[in-house]
Amino acid sequence: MLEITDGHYVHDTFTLDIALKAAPGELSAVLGPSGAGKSTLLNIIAGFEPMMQGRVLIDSADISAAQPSQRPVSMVFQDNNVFPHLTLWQNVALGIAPNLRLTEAQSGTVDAALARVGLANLRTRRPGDVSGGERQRVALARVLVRSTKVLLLDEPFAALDPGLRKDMLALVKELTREKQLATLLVSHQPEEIRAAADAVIFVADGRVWPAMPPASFFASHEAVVASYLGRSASSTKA
Amino acid sequence: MGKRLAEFAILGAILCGVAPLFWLLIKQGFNTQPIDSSVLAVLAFTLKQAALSTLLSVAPGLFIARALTRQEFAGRKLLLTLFALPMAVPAIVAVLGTTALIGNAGLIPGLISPYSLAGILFVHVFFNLPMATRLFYQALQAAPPEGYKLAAQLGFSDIATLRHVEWPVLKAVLPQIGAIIFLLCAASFVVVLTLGGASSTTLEVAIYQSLRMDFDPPRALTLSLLQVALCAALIGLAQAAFKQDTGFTSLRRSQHRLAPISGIARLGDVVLIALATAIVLPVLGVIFWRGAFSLHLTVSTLQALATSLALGFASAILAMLLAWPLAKARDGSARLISLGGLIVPPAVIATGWFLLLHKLGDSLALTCAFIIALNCLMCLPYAVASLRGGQAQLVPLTRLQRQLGLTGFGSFHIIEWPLMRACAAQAFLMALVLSLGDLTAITLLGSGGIVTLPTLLHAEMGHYRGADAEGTALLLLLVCGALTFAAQKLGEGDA
Repeated sequence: MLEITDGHYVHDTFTLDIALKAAPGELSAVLGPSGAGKSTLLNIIAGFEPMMQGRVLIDSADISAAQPSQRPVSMVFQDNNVFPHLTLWQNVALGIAPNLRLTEAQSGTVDAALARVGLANLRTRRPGDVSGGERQRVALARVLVRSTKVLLLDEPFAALDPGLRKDMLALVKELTREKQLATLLVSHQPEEIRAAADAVIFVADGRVWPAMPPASFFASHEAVVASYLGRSASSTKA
Repeated sequence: MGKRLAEFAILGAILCGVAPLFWLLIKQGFNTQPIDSSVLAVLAFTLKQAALSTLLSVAPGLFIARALTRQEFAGRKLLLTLFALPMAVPAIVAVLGTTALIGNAGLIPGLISPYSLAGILFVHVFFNLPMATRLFYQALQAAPPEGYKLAAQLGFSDIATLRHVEWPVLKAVLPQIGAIIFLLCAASFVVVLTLGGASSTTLEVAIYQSLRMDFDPPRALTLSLLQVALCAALIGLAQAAFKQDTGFTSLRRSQHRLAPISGIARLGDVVLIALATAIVLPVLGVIFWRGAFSLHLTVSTLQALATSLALGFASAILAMLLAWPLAKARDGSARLISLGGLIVPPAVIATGWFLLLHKLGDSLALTCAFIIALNCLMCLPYAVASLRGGQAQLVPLTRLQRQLGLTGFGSFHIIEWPLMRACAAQAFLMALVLSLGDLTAITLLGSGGIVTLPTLLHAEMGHYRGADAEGTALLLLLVCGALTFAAQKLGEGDA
């Protein structure tokens, strides 16, 4: 279970109030207007940005002060998830040993992870020689070899074709179930993620809203939600 | 159209420099001097000196840049500005600063003799270590932030971060930075002329000496051909490095420190930064310190200043007129031709022009014109590079511009000038600074009685008028420093 209690973040004039819960094995879609703080929320959980107050808890353990590498958290970015000078296999192996010296058992783990995301044949290729979708699969394979409880994805498929996006979303969903990850996925395509999401975390107006079921989010009559989804707000107000 | 004109003008100018040499060669029945041991000795010294200068600038520069990137401290920005200063310092001023610092009558005498290989290396490192540091720093700033984030998340050690995140970025720019510095040091003229001796002479200086001291054209020709071959090879190397895979690009750069740095690494960073400061600051400081007591504005210094400014403005304007179409063209030929003054070094071009000048009769106006033209060629590569930076933001607008039918003056007035203004001013000021501090062109072409601040300073040094020289050096430094500061401010406003 990932939890943020009583969180408050300030950067210049930008503020964000955070109260959040995400259960293991569940995929939460993080939605909201541009600049509302979706990426900031992920950065706070990963430990790249500090909160002014509040706590980040994973399985009841307070990790608010922990270094990024000491958190059981993996983050997948929109781009640059792989080092261009290393092979796909080495890129995954970095998740186990940054000096790339792996035991035989560890090598086996890397092989299995690559096979799980469908890259077994491409293990000796370099990122420049594979497609954008395959590069993102490398990032997911690296998540698999780490002992991760929380998976954060920051618009990971934004640069991919619709068909490919669907496949990748399905893969993320499967991995979330298999590894019992609390997964947060930032997306700019609410309709695309609607079916796959177990919950929606809405970020707008300087606050992270409590998670809600997708059905109630998409039917919400709140003006800010309606305007975000492109529905006429005036008709829903009354 | 403008591009063709600029290309012809530059090629014509270079040809005028090379043609008289070949004409001499034909006249003497192809009796060039063979490459004998004396020529080889000059070549060997040129290579040795340039290699050592490059090594001493690039290797520390790489680690200093890394230290500056990851250490947050008050005054970091000031330090980076300090590192931009040597670019504005005329070579002859740096030479004076060095002798005033470590010379026999200097502040710290007996450390190393300035009149030796060590002295030449000291001045070259003063110029190029800060430049290398800034170039590596820029490369690291442009690296994708995700790399650092991954390193923090995966718990990379200092070594692993260097190996996986920083080294690939640094490696991509290393050959290019190395080649540029090697080239600048191999073609260094003023520093070697003033600090070198009979046994420590580079090709560039030997060309000048064989023609002007010994009047030995065959020897000058042999040396010139060697110099052109060397410089062309280095340019080729630097260009090849440009084609390197740039990997993936990213837009944002987080300013947060992501992972803690170990105490030892932190100490190493501090030592490196202190070392770099200790090389740059004293040379400039000693000129301020000593010059402040002897800064005098006599009629002769003011006249020299006026002459310097007049020549500087003329060559900077000429350089801008040529650089603008070349920067806009963005093709191979424009790129290559803008580097003409680096491929065919000033000493070679000046040798031909000097012979031509003699044929045409030594008039003051003609000498001035040649000095302006040579200075223009020398600062052209920098002006074009600087303008190309501004052009880069115009490229995405090209289609929109064509769709709207904006061409000619309308396009210049509405789109190009507003977007390029800061960049153009910066390029102009840099060209002005380079020309103002020039001693190379005026020495190579023969001053013909023209007195600029650098020639005045050189003469005062030659006549052991130390105090006068220090005052003149300070004046020159202040003028060049102010102009560079203005250029920097414009550059920041642009970004």
